[in-house]
Amino acid sequence: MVRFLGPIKGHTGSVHSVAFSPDGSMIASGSWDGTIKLWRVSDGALLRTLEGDLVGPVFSIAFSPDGSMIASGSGDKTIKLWRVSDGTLLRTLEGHTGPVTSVAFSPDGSMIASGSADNTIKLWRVSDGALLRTLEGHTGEVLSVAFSPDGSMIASGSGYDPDTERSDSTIKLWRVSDGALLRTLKGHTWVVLSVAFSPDGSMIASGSADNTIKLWRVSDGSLLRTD
Amino acid sequence: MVRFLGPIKGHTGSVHSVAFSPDGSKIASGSWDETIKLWQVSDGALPRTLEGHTDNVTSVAFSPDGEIIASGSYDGPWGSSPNSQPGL
Repeated sequence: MVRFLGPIKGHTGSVHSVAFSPDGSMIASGSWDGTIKLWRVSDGALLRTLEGDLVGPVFSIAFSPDGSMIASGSGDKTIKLWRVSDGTLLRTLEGHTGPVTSVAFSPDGSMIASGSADNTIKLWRVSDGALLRTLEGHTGEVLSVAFSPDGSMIASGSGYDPDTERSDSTIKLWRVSDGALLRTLKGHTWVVLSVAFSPDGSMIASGSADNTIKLWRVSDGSLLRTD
Repeated sequence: MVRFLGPIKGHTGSVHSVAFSPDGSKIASGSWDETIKLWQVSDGALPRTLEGHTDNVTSVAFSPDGEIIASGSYDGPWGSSPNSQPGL
């Protein structure tokens, strides 16, 4: 049985991203209203609003694996790192030349991957905010990034390029250690909006503006299923 | 023999978010058709549809214990429970 537990009210704009804290006690939500809100799961209470100097919509949020930090990607082309305990803005990562649409922590918490409308993925070191690598190859906006559970790979989903008026519509698999492009998964017929690794790392699920969900095998890139 | 198995009730709008359940058995998907669907990974059974949002669903996330799905939408964040857990 599935039951809606109810809406959580507070944002003044559409919500683009939600994430559970690793211990399951909190939900963070990022909104078009330019804020991130932290909610207590047990009763839905608003715990904190992270505003800092955020400019523009928050497209993506992610908790660090230890739950101490939140990374946010936003329309101002930056990634921001926040301390959960008191809402302090710890760091702003600058380098993308387009809105940051997606952020993900590596499983060990040492790196952040960010996807941007500048068609690239960037890898950042959490400890000092250094830009480690830029992954280039997509021919459309990168709308989703995910680390494999073992941290060795990044999957990215891509979309539309306003300049060429074409959609990339592919998923790319990258090796974290050297940034090599391992594989390009083709099958979606329009913008890929979301990618996720299965917990065992063997599969990738993707959601697309072609209205379908597809399941891919990581080992050989084969399409396992589409709805 | 050919047998019509019926339509696959997929999303009728862009799928903006997919998430695996922590045990890997299910995928939740959020769509601009204003619904969330829960898919079984193993057998391709027809998904269950979670309705309630009144606008585009942009994001879905499972709680670490798999008991709750949080969803973000143009109409705000929601919590829903695949197993009727109290809360939110």
